This record gives sequence, structure tokens and C-alpha cells, in this order.
Amino acid sequence: MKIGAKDAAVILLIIILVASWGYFLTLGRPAVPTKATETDTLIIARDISDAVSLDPARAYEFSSCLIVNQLYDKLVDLRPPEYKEIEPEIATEWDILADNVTWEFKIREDLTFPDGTPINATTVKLSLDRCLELAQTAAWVIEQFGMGGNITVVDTYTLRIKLAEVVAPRLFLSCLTFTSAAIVNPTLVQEHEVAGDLASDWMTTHSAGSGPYILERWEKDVEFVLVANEEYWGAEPKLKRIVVRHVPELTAQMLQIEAGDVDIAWNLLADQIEEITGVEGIKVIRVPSFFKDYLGMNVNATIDEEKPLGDNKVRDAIRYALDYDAILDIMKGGAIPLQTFVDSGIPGYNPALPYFRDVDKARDLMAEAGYPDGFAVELLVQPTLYWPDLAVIVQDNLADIDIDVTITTITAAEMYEIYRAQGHELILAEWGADYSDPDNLAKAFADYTIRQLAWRNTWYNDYASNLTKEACSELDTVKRLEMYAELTDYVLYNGPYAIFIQGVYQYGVRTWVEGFYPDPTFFLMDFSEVYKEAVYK
Amino acid sequence: MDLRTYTARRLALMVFVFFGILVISFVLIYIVPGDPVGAIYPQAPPYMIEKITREWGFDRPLHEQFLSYLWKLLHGDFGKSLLTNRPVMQDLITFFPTTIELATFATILAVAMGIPLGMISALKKDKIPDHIARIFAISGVSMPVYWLGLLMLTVFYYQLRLMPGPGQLDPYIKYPPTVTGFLLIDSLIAGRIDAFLNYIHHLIMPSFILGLFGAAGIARMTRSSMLEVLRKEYVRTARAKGLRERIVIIRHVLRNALIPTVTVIGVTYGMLLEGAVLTETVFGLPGLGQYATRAAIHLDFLAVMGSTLLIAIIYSFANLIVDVVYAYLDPRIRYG
Amino acid sequence: MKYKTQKFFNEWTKEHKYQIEDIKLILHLWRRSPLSVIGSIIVLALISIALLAPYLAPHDPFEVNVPNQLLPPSSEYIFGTDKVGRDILSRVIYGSRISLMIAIMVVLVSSLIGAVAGLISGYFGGKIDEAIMRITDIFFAFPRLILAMAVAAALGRGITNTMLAIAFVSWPIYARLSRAGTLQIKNEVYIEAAKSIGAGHIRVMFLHILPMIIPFTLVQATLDMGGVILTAAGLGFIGLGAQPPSSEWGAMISLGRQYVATGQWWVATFPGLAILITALGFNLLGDGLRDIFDVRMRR
Repeated sequence: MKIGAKDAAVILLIIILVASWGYFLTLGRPAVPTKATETDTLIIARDISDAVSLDPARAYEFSSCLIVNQLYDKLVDLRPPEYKEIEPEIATEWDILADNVTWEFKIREDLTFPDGTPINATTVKLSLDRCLELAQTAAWVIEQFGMGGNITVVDTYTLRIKLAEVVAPRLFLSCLTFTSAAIVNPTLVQEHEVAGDLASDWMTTHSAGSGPYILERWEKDVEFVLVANEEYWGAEPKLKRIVVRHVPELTAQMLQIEAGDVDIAWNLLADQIEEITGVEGIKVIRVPSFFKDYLGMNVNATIDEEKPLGDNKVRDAIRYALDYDAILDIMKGGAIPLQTFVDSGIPGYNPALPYFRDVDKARDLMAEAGYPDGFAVELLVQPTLYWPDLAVIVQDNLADIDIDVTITTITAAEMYEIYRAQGHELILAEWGADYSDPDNLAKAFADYTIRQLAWRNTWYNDYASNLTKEACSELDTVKRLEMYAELTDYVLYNGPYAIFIQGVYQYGVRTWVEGFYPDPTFFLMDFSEVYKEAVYK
Repeated sequence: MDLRTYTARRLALMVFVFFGILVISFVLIYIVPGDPVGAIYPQAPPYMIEKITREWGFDRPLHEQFLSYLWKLLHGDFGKSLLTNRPVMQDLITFFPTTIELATFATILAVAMGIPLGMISALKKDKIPDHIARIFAISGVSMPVYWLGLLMLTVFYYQLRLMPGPGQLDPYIKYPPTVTGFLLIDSLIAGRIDAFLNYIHHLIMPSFILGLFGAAGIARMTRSSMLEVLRKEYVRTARAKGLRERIVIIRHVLRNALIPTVTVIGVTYGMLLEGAVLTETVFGLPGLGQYATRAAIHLDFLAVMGSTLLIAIIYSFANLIVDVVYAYLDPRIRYG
Repeated sequence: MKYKTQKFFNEWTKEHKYQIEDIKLILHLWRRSPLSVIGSIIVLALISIALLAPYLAPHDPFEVNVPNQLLPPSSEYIFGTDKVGRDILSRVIYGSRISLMIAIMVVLVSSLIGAVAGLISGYFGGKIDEAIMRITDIFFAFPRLILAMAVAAALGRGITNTMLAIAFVSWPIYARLSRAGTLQIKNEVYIEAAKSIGAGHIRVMFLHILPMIIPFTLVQATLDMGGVILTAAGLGFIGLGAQPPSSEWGAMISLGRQYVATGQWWVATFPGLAILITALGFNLLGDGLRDIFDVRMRR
């Protein structure tokens, strides 16, 4: 092959192209924008593919509830920045009557929806009845108290709700902060009702609420656009528009926030957050979430004709074998230590952290339980995010006490089918509190009769189950918290779980955004206090 | 046989193929272990899961479900998606325009890159330009798409600020009202030239990556068919007549060489519909690929079957059109 | 003694004169195509790395060492470390075994099934041919990735089932190719001759026609290898491929994908490059083989 001049030129060109490509990859950060382009519009980059419906009676996904909470008001609410205390919203005051099961609410006077329809006790009754009648998954939060048919209007601004049994006040009220208890506009419901659906079809893509924002547009898997409600009865929202754009690729979200094209990157992972920490123009905002990660151990799992996980000594051994520091190390800023089942931020939180990696102690426990040579076990885990890495660490840790772990990655659909059928041996999973009260967590982790986590792991413990039921109806708040202290400790030392972290939500936010206090759940977020500065500090 | 019979016969075969696809996908999806309902709301209480399962009819025996599905299909009802809770038909109508736009753009780029590459390879056979062109073309089918996509986003969007970020439009550009579902068309209808141009700008990188895949096949076919034709008698005759080389190439060689390439373009279009899957996720384009993948991962039965059928239909029609055109251009085929 | 061996050798050479000429021609053509040479070198290097993995890898690919997570490339960890502190170079090296095994097994199974199916189809024609061709039509129209996903999920996870799933999706191409080849060859004179002296169908198909089809099949097989590795990588993306802590390249990219832009580019880039170079090598080799067989055919 002879190489002529033209050929040489082509080769040279190619070499230059490849070299410059390599060079660009190693370039540092380009110049960062210093001014917010438009200060009355907030742009959020987020994966919104999970949204199904904006009808509060239906909305149960992260994205839908986030939006629904801007469009609607509720009787009571939990507000930024702390989201800790129940505060009045549509209701101004409330009290429990002498029979201990009936609640009376006073409704704020002279409120209207944007179209002029008044908000009063009847409106609230209609909204709650509507939710219970549609009986969608989201309704369980209020349905669980058996108030169906027992909501009565006493006068224009007084409402009574009678529950089927005695329920602790905090429990009942925090359930009313859930989006399914939102107050909807009866005029619009009547207007858009089709074939008895109570306007659910229309409300899937339109707002019928009294909240600080109105839905301008929802295009599936593209964006939500919210505009400020000019007629809002409360403080005027500072932002005129909120645009939530669908960005499913997390790396793309990170690039966008760095480039200044979006104001908030919602779903960034721990390493990506670490990358943007300390970068000029970006700040990281964190809030401990109501989600915890745990290792579930099936008490009934049969391995080699025995049930090793049924012996609490073995479970204790596993709890002492885990390297909690390594796990925290991997999660970087995205997790805080937690070993009990009530998350920090919820009343009843138990900060005890008695377990730490002690391989010798773990080995002793295994020997005491009669498994000095260990056993083989299968660990189920999802293949996404950080789960495979966690699984590998668990596998490594347990190998030190002769427990031979085989990791099986399976998709959620299959994993939950097996889990719900008590068919697993070990499983790595997460659980989030449904609302800001310890009862739903206790029911899941301690009460097997509810057929959630305790049942899935075949931990049929009557003591825990009864204590849960008692604490649910305890009206004395102090006594109630004592019960949860006892319950969380009991589950910590005897349960089929090794809880190891509480997740922390981390957001990439441009420094020109102020007033953004993210909520620890997914349905309490409130944007009405958020605003943008013209120049970043 | 004449053209009409040929076409008719092909259409009949296509129906058979679609039915086969339906049966296979139905069987496969139901063999696949896992319960989608329990996983959509992992924390929902068991009674709720049972209730939803009953509502959707997933507890009925298999053959009943299949027959009921077929019956509805004949009435144009693709069933309802478990994930979006909307009719699958509605989902397909919402998402398929974007994939078509992406695949079409990618095919244009694939042809624009592939044919010249193939020509260079053929004309400068065994010389350096040939080798470089071939390596470039083959690299196209050797790379993990999302890897290349992420790299390009990082370099061209973030560091060089030459290309826009993910999505169809820049965050501050408002969407025009939806009329046809094709953003390219809707933006023109609404007179929004800025949105139109911005969208094309957004399509460049994903189409380029997808196009690389197709370019390889097109380049290869162009190269080999050009080499075939270059050997032929009539080319020698044309040269002997003293015609300039460029005219020989364009008028005689290219026209004949491109005929088999047309077939490859049809195949390419189908491939790109599929390849769009990962590209759409990386670049945040709301198309059929990411809808179908999400449905497959979550075992959203009806959505998977609907999208599979739709992609198969488009693919088969693309092939049919190409084959008919080819048969029209080259009479030898239909008499074969 | 030596004389007998010499005589045997001479006779054997004379008998197989044409085959030997053939091989010489192939080698000559191969040498003349630099791209095929490059492709072959890459493939050979890959095979060597896979075979010699335990000797080449500087560290244990499974050793978890969380404090060492995400270290950039250095003299100790030439490709850097991943999220749980494992050495990426060692994992890439061991990963070559898995990828190569998947590629070879899949291509072997699918090409065998496909070639035989196409052979039967082309040879017998008629209804059998129609039936087999319609079945391949269905497979062709099916979106490959989705079909592979469904089959892999149906069979269960793990490498073996992943291979079966991809093979399930890949065989139709071989069927089409071998059928086309069979159609061309079955009317040749020497086939008629064989049949006229009483050779049965099986004998004709497998002894006479099949060897002629092998060249095309081989070319397609080499070209397919790259695609198979990519498909396996795609499946690993959704947890249907190799299980952790296995170091299959696709699973490595999927885990490392979030780091591409965060400055820990090495986690996803090196396995990505490995896939790219491997697929490139196979494709170049296949392309070169195709050219070589093309020329031979035309002789």
C-alpha cells in the first residue's frame, strides 16, 4: 500500500479529531451561568413517567402526588420547613368529642375555589365521600378508619367525622394530610361527570382544586406546567410558573443543573451529588426521607431441612456481621444510620444503634445456635441503582461467618410476587412510611395480621401484633410514644429484619433558588414559598 | 406474476405473521414469572392487590384471557395499560409519533452517511480511504448506544455547549398545542418556528447515534453492489465511449447500484425503530421504545403486546413498501 | 518406515490438491486485507486474554474493598476501581471469558439450528419450506430486544438462560442464509450425480450441501458475535444477564453508567471500550472473510 499525500492528509485529520475528542473529555467545567434567566419560572428536571392520574382520589405515585399537592388544599397539613406539626389549612380548629370516636372540624369561612364555588363543610363531605366511593388504591389511607357514611355536616362551617374505633389523634390527623383527602370542587365534578365516574377521567388531567397552583398542561412523559392561582385564599405564591420536565436519564439531569438550564435536579444519585457539591452556583439540599433500607430474613425459610433464620440467634449473628460503615460509605450523603423501624422526623423515632460489625460475636452466636459451619442462602435483590452493590457487600460480610450467599437479581414484578408469597430466603428491600405517624410502620413491621412485612417474613409474633393494635388507639400521646419505644426496641432485637439505613433525599439546586424545603415523603411538598433571586450570591 | 398479485400475496402473509406474533408474545408474557400488580404499589395491602387483579381479569384462565384479548383487538381495542391506566391505543398514539420522527431522521442521516461511505469504499477499494470508511461504518454497530449517548451529551452539550440537552425542547421553550402528536408538524401548524428548529437541534445527536448503526449496513451494501456494477460490461462501454468518470459513476453505476441498497434501507428503518429504545431513554425522548421497555420490565402485559404488534406492523409495512418498490424497479424479482 | 510416511504424505497432498490450493488462496487474500488482519489479531488477543485471565489479572476481580471505592486509574489499579473497590482491569479481563463464552455458545447454537432449518427448508421446498419461512418471518418482525427480554425472563435469570434467549432470537438469519445457499446449490450437477448413484436425502444434505454453506454461515457468525455481546450487555442492563458479582461487561456498564459524567468515567468507559474493540474485531474479521469468500465464489 502506498501512502500518497491525500491519504496522509486524511490520516492526519482523523488523528486530530480523535485527539481533540480525548482532550474535550478531560476538560474541566465550562463557565457557570451567574444569572437566573427567568425569575418567575421554576424549572425542575425529574423522572415523571410514574404519574398516572392527577385526581386526588387516584394519585398514589411520587410524581402525581407532588403535583396534586400544589393544586389542592386539605383540612390540615404538614408544612415546610420542618413538616412536623399538624397545622390548620381548610380547617381552623378541631377537637375530639366525648365518645372518643367522633371528630369535629371548624371550616375556614369565606373561602372559594377559583371559579367562585364556596368551600364549606358540605364541600369537604362531598370530597371525602367521593374518595371513599371511588375506592381506589389511594383511598386506603382514609378508608382504614371506617368513616364511610359517617361524615356529617352540622352547619355550614362545621363538620363531624365518626370513626369505627378509637384512633390516636396524630394518626388520624396525619392521614388527613394525604393527598387523597384533598378538597375538590363539586361544581366541576358535576360538570365533567361521565358515566358515574365522578369526573375522575376529566380530573386525571385537569385541576379542580383551591390550591396555590393550577394545572396548565400535562403531557405524559414530557412535562407538567403549573401556573399560579390568582384567586388563592392564602399567601400569593411567589413563582408564577412551575415547569417539571421529564428527564429519565439521571446523568442528563446532572448535566442540566450544572449547565444552569434547570433550577432543580430532583433524582440525582449519591455520587452525582458528591460531584456537584461545592461547585459554584449549585447547592445541595438534603432531607432525611421516610424510607429505610433493610435486609429481610424469612423466618420460615427451609434450608437443608432446617430453618436457620427462624432462630433469633442466627438473625442476631447476621445483624452483627453487616458492615454498616461500608454501607454508609457507599451511600455517601444519601443515607443516615437507622436500625429501628420508625424514621427520624416521625414521632416515635428510636435512635438506638446497638448493632455494629463484630465478626467474632457473630460467629459465637452462630455456633450457639447450632450452625458453626454456616449454611447456604439465596439473596433476592433488584438490579437497579445501588442495590447490586449493597448485595455484594452483604454477600461479602456474611461470607465471614460462613453464610454462603447466592445473589439473585430479579425485576420488581417477580421479586414482589415471591416476597408477597413468603417465598424468599433473604431479601434486600426498602419501605417508606405512608404518612407522618408511627402506626403505619408498626403495622407493617410488627403486626403480622396486617399481612405486610412481618407476615411476608413469616414472623408471627402476637406480642408485637397486640402492642401495635394498642398503640394505634391510645389517646394519651405520652403513653403512646412509650409504647412505640418499647415496640421499636422489641422489633430491633427480635424481628426478622436488619435495618441499616434511612435514606436521605438529596437535590441539586441552583443557588438562586430560595425557600425550597423538600418534604421527607412525596405528597407534602409545598412550592408556594419558593422563589428565585435575580443574581446568585 | 404481476405487481398487484405480488403485493396482495405479501399482505396476506403479513396478517399471518401478525397473528403469530400475537400468539408468541401472549404465551411468552404469561410464562414470564412475576406479578405486575403487586409490584406497581409494593406497599399496598394484599386485599387491594387482589381487588385490582380481579378488576383487570388477570385471575381468569389463560385461554379465556387470550380469546377476550383477540375479540377486543378485532374491535380495535388494545386493552388498558397497567402502568398508565389508559387505553393502550391511546398510549401508542401518544408515543409513536416521536419514535417515527427519530427513526426517520436517523434513517436520513444513515443514508447520508452510509451511501457516501460505501461509495468511497468502492471507488478507492483497498486504499486508505476505503479502510477508514469501513472502520467508521463498522464502529457504528459495535458500540453500546447509551454509552456513546452519554459521552456525546457530556462533551457536546455540557462542555462545548454546541448541542442542546435531553428532551425534545429546551426547558424555557413552551410546547405548542398538540394537534397531530408529531411535534415537528404541530410546531409548524402553530407557527412556532423556534420550537421546530429547537426540536431538530435536539434530534441531531440521538439520530446521529442511531444513524451510525444503519449507516454500517447501508455502506456495506452500497460498496458491494457498486463493486458488482463497476465490473459490468456497460460501465466499460461507457468509459470506452470517452465519458467523463463522474458522469459514468452518477448516471450508470450509482443508479443501478442503489437498487439493492433500497432494500437495506427498509430493513434499517425497522432496526432503528428498535434501536430507538435505549436512545430514547438517554436523551429523554417520549417515544415508543421507552414505553415498551418500561412496560416489559414491569410486565405490563397489554402494553407490551400492543407496542410489539405496532412495531411489527410498521416494520412489516416498511419492508413491504421497499420490496414492492424494488420489484417495480427490477422486474426480474417478481418473475422469480 | 520413513519412506512409507513420505509416500503417504505425497499421496495425501495429491489427493487433496484443490483443497490445499484453496487454503493457500485464502491465506493470500487474507494477508492482502489489512482490516481482516487487524480483526484477526483482535480476536486472537481476546481469546488469549480469556484463556490466560488468571495469569494476567493483577487483582482478584471479586475482592470487595469499600474504602478503595472509585479510585482513578493509577499504577496499582490500572483501570481504577468501581463502587465497592474492585479492580476494574481484573474485572474486564475476567469479563472477557464470560462475553466470549456467551458469544460463542449463542452463535454456535443459533447457527446450527438455523443452518439445519434452512437446509431442510431449501432442500425439500413446498409446504415445509413455506412453514419454516413463515416462522422466520414472525421472528424477524419481532423487536429483538423485547423478545430476548421476554424469553430470558421466562426461563429465569443467569447466564445459561440469557444465552438461550439470545440464540432464540438469532437463529432466523442463519435459516434464511442457508436456505438461499441450499437453493443455489441443490441444482448443481454434482448433487444430481450423487443422487443418481443412490445417495439418500440425509447424505446429500449433510455431506454435500452443508459443507458448501459453511462459508456464508461462518461469515454471518463472526459478524453476529459483536451483536450478541451487545445484546447480552443490553439484557444485563435490566438484570436479566449475568448475576452479581459476575464481571460481565454489560453489567459493568450498567452499574457504571451514572458515573460517566461525574468524573469517575473509568467505571463505564473501560468495559465499554472492551465491548467496542471486541465487537469491532469480530466485525472486521467477518467483513474480511466475506470479501475473501466473495472472490473465491466468483472464481
